[in-house]
Amino acid sequence: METYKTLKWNIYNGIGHLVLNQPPANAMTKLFFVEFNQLTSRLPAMKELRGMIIYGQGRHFSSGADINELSDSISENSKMNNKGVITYCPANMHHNLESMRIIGSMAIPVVAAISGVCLGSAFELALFCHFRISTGNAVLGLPESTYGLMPGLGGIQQLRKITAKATAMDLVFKGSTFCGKNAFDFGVVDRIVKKDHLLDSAVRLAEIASKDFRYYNKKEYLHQLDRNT
Amino acid sequence: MNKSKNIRWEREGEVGILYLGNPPENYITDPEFVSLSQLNKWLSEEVKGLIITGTGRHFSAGADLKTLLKQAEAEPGLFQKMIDGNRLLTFIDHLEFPVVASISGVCFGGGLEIALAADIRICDERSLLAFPEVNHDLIPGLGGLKRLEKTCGHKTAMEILLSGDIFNAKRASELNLVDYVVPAKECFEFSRNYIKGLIAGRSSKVIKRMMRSFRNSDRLDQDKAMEEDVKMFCELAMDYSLRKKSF
Repeated sequence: METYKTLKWNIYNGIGHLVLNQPPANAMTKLFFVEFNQLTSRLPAMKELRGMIIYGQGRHFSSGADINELSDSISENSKMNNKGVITYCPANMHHNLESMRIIGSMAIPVVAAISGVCLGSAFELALFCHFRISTGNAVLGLPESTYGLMPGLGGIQQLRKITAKATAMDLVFKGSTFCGKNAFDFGVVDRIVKKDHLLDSAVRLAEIASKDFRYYNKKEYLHQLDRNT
Repeated sequence: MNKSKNIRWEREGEVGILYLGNPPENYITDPEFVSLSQLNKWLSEEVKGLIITGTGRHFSAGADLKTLLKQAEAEPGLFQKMIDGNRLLTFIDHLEFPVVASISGVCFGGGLEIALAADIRICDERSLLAFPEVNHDLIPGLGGLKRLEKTCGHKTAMEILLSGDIFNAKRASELNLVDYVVPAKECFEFSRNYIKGLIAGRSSKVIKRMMRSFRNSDRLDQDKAMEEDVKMFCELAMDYSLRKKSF
């Protein structure tokens, strides 16, 4: 098994644990995305996998991409015509999106277990997961617009699938952060869990949903989780 | 302040406000309720958000049937007028900044079709909404059928259209016909603050791309829409990188 520097990948009892591992805030650096892409490309072929959970090492899920590093690398590698329209995007941007899509289209349940901060592309990653459980005081958001940017890894489209257009517009345009409890109230997070039980619950949810997983049965799996706690 | 076809236009900073005129019911006498070229002129003044609302107590009770039927006989004919009206609503629907319909009182038929061309519908707790066309053996003719289906889903849309029932604010909210319900008399104030909150501090360039992304989710398949998002993100990131260097 290959080793990664910025993430940890282990399979316990058929449940894959993907840990974002660049403490303190587990920022999604360039190297992280390289390793993340390597891992996701191998995921669909892992036959022993029944479910998967994603979380951050330590207090935080992840603070998202490093905007300075990312925008510099994009501007060095993109081509734009004289009308300001992009004609070539760096290949790694497409690879990153592809990884997100792989997570979203896994045939096994994928659960994001969110605590601490979960911002920008980290929140986009969580939006691609089939389930999001979070601590009540986690800090979530898509702050891209406050930097003159927009969520660029499919987060807007995922948000449109999960929630109403008005909510999605609110989150994307304002770019303000909100706590896990609020996220639950407007339907972006599925369950609020105490920090001590976060990983337990994530594993249990993955176990419950792993039996003949169908995304359209999502509510039923969550009810089963409620009954088991 | 400007007037054309019973329409009043105001601008508050970056927000344009379009008042449907003809109180108290604000009947719509012409499907192209504001001339497209006039609206275009108004919007070109650095507008980043638009509110559509009624003058006085009501949003609009919809088309004035008598006038409408008279137009059916006169030149250039109802058909051409409906095409112009459709073009206007499509134009509003496709605007690349947020559009809010601020609905107090009644919002029926053509009025509701206008409201559905907005991105966000805000009404007060006493508002009433309906597509009564079916009671007159008519159907919504300004794209309302399609927009209703997109907004509420196929099943709900059919029930609303085929019943012709009138919905109060609470029910309309449950059916996703409106996005926010606010206390009576606070509707306009809420709408104004809401839209200002959306666009405050955002450049037109960013607003345009985010709106495009939202529209892409309605017209492209999801994979394609995401790829477009990547492209638009890269455009903005290049700007960001430049801005950073110039400091």
